Amino acid sequence: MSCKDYQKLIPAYLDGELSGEQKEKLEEHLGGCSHCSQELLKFKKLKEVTEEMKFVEPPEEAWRRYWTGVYNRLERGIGWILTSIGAIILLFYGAWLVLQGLIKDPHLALMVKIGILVLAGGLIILLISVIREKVFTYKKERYKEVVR
Amino acid sequence: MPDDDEKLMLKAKDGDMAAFEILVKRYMRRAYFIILGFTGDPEASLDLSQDAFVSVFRSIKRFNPQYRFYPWFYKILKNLTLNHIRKRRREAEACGFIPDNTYNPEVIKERDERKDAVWKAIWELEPGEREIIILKHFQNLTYKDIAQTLDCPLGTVMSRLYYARKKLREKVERWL
Repeated sequence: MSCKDYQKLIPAYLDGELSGEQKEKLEEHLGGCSHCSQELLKFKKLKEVTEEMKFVEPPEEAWRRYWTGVYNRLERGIGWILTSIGAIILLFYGAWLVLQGLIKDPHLALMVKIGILVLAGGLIILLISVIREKVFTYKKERYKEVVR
Repeated sequence: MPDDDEKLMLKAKDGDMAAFEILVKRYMRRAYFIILGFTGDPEASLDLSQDAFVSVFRSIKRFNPQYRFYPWFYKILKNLTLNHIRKRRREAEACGFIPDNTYNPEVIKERDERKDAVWKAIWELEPGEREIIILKHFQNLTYKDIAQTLDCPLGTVMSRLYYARKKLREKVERWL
């Protein structure tokens, strides 16, 4: 093994993650190699510094309210889904009634009736396309962007 | 003896909210600090970590109890965090500037000049390097745990940690 190979083992040695055999070999090498011993010292100092570093804890209140926050989000999510479904049903029903009324109106010109029907058809196609895209994105792309 | 994570997930899958609450309380701190390590933003970290648990619950049917909960959860956490960072970057770009100073020294406890310099150096590492430093130094995970979390071999953990620490050491040499 070269010095470079031994140096790669130094951080794991300091973390206590080497096997007995690896540890023994490295210690033997360190005993006779001043360059690698220097490396050991440098990594040791770095470890000491990073071990002193801790993140600031949020206020205890944040932890006490944490579960309620998660629960509320879950509940609200269900609420939004039901609200959206209800709104879509009512919207479609209302649109259908308005459309029926307009088409049956004898005073309305034929071209206007055709225009309204084409417009309604276009809107339905757009809506279906958007919903399909959302469903597709949800099914296919979730968690795909994770970089290992 | 407390239930293990996978058992709690199975119970939560059957609608047991108390089991899910135990799981949330078990991992809330870890989730928060991991996101904090990526974003440097305490408020966003609290928010995103809660969103991650909501995502867990919504994807609970897809959870396979043959696998460990934490690596699966970590993927969700990381994905949400990366999406958040991308979104923030896009918004900043749309406003005409690129955010390069998301570095926030105030997230570190009992600050001094040296700790600020080391945290800045950690912040300037490549995301993958910062990730492994955070898992090891701020989460105190063993190599085996890191390997399971990142779904990679033990040797890869050892080598990634070596290069990340070497780079970090070079950046903070004068403070050592």
